[in-house]
Amino acid sequence: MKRAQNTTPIQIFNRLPVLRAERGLSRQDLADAVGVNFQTIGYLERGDYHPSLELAFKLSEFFNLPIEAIFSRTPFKPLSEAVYRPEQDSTKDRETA
Amino acid sequence: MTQTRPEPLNLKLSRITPAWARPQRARRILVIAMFTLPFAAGTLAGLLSSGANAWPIRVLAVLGVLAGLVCYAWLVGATSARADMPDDYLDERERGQRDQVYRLAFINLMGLIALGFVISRFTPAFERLPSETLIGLLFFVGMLMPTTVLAWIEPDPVQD
Repeated sequence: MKRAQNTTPIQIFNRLPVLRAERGLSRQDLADAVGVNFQTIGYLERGDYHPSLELAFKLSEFFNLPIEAIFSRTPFKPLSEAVYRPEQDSTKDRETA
Repeated sequence: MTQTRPEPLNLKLSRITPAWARPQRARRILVIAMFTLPFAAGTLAGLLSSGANAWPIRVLAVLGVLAGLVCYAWLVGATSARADMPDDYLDERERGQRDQVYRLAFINLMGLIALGFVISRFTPAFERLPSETLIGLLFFVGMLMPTTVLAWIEPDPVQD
């Protein structure tokens, strides 16, 4: 039986560069913390490599954030916008509803 | 008492590899040199070794092979020997990359064997070569191929 072919590659967005910069970590620091090569962190940040569930959990535990705060199937809003304008968005949502 | 495992020998090559050999462009030049130098020296030796001054040509052939081996050692060092490392020494991305490299190396090797078969079938190119030379050549090309493929495809690391 032929496998169903998925022609569109899955794109996963991440906030790793922002989270790393916020904490003043180098790629090597983060790599040491989660037990990978520092180049793997670069691949993850550029979206050239998608992490396994195990690595995603390690990153989640390291940053003390839920996985969906680090990785997403849709592009993230800038963190500053998410922090300072959440009320406006929720008001808009209520109005449209 | 915990025992620390000895560092693999090929990982030590990483420390003696010059920094200029690490960028992708340099690695690709080394790959070309690794195959070209022994091939050119061997071909020259094969063509000219029947004369009275055979030994300088043989020395040249040995030097060509040694130059190829030096290129290989630098390639192993420049790729941190990741093409030949067991699972414990690699992270998940590197393990996937190593497996991809082995797949590509197998395809390349089969392509070269098929090409050699076609050449030997329709031309007398391999008639003068003894069978042990051909088998040895196949062995070494097969052995070098995973590191060669990794050195060729691995992009330069992005700086912090």
